[in-house]
Amino acid sequence: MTAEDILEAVERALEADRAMSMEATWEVAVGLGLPTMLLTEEQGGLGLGLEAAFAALFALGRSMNQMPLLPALLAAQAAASAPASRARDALTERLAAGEYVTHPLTPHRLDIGQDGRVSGGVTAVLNAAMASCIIVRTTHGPALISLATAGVTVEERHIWDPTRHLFDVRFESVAIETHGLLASGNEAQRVTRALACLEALGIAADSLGAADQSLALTLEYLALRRQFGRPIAMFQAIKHRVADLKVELAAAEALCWDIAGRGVEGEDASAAVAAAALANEAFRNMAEQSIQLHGGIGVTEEIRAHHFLKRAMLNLALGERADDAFAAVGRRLLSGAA
Amino acid sequence: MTDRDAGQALRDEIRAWLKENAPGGWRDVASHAEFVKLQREWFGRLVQAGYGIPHWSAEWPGGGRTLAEQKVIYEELARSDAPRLLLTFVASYHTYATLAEHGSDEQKARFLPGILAGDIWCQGFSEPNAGSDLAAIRTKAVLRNGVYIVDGQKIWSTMAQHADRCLLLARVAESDVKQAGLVFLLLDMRAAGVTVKPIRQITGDEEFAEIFLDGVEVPLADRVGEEGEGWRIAQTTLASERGLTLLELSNRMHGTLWRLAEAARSVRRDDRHTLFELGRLATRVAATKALADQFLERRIAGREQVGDASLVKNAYSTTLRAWADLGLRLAPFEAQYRAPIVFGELNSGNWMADFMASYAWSIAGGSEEIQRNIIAERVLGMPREPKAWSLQS
Repeated sequence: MTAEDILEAVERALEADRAMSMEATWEVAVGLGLPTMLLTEEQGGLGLGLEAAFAALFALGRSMNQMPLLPALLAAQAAASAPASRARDALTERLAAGEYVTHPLTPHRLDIGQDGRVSGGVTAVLNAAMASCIIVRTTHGPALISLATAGVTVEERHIWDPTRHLFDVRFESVAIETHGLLASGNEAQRVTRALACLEALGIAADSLGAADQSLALTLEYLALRRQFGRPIAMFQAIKHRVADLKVELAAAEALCWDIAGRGVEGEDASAAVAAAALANEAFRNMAEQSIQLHGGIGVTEEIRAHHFLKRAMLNLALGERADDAFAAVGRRLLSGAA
Repeated sequence: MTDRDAGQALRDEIRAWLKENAPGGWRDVASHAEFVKLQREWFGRLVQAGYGIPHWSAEWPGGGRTLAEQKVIYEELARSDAPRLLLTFVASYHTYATLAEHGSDEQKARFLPGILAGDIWCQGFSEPNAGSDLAAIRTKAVLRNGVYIVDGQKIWSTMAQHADRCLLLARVAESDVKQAGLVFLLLDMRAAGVTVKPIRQITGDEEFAEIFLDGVEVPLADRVGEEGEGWRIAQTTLASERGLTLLELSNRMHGTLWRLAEAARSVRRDDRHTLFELGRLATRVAATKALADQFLERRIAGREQVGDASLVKNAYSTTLRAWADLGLRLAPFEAQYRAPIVFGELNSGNWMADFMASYAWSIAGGSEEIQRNIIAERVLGMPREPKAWSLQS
């Protein structure tokens, strides 16, 4: 399957019933093999890569879908890139059985104490209530923890964005068995890097898909709304702003698709994270301008323009900080490496 | 050999060649005569080595390069700090694209080899009262006994004072639809009645000129297409400027990022704010390059849409301004000292000169504002403005 097939399949599936509950669309996604598409074929997946994941998340962004595909893909990516181990087998088995294994979308690193136990918490866990397990980064490497383990609590946080369900997960002296670690040492670094790229580009794909839709809805409104006896889309003051947004989106899209297609080379994840940051910024500008271009109706709940603004601001807050990513690229340029 | 290995092999090959052949000290040229000589020689050497016209078709020496190969060549030329081909720019892009698509076999055979031998071309489109509103041109061509007699005035013609030939857009008929009455001619700049007057720019350079046409004769054989097709053919010329040339320029901008790093190092700036600005700009440059690449891939696959080139052009012009702006803010005080000859953005070695030259892309070839109209109306489908206008309304 190519990225374009994925994009089409996801859009068709979502188009079938826009009114479906999140749980129902998740069932559809599992049926299509989306959450496990990054697993190798031997692992029961589709053996697909970053570009396919990007395509699927772009389509979900376009429909502002609520399903937690990105964390599920991060779990699958962990299973696909971790070295063989009991932990990996356990993870693969759960994923292949259709379980939702989640992953936080904010930077974190939990300490494993001398006693092999972790305490602390992670934020921005999508739809944790639906998950069986979570993968977290620890001082020893990425670890798989069942959410049913004693000492784990899950609490929903009510956020501005109505299209997402975010949870905190807290660990109270939770035992990490040695077979819970998915990788350690250099292997852990390699797995973490792969996850960081997927996370950044995954959020960017969502941003670009959603921005595309925000642009389409804004254009619809501008053609409809009449003032001074004409559609306001006819005024250059409006046209030029929308054109600038399109240029910004097109450039960010070209870069992110290119990186997703080529894959991330060597040790340098910073260029991918910076590219993603550019995409999230572009979505934010689009969503912000969309409210303004809608005028008064834009700040009401009558229309969905605010959903895009809220999702855009959330996307900017997820993942690594954009200015860190840009500074990392700058440092490479200054050292003559780029 | 994989594509990536092949790309690396070409990269190594051109790097080695540039080490031996790239002209040094070219920024020190003090006269236009020296500039012309240097540009001609450099183009000749590149053509001979097979790097001069990578975007031409395979029947030409060094043509038929894949997109990936073209990118490698442009990037390495920029990295080696070789001079850009400014004098032959219109010939190798605009004239080639126009004749390849609309020229007769006889015209291709007559004009294209001359370009490789160093013929210089300019473009005669804009007029004092037809800039953004290009279709309003008034330069007249009247056919008499198989010869067009041309009268009028052209402006903003890059390198016209050095040109052998001109891509000329003229009016053959008045009609309700002003685009309908145009013709596309290949004007001999040495013909009687052609007067060229260079225009002094804010950089002190004379990069472009006015062309006065007074009863100039153009043989029928030098007409491209039919009467009335001028506008359509001119679109090919302009699209090549908005799209194809930007593959070279965006790759060149990417290959020239080292100049920003050098500016930061020369003033010992490695604070977080500087790192952030460098990194953000480098990412914008990468995005512009990716957009130009995508545009070319679509064009080759026959999937180009009207207005796509405008997206690339505005992405480039705004990023170029930001590139020059950051360089200027990082640069040592030297940037305020006048450079003798600038000729082109990305190229001068002086950041103030680069900054001023960056207007070439936000104004020329259809201003940023005109591109925004095209993007809004053609790409996004927003309604056109009402045509009628009067002071009373």
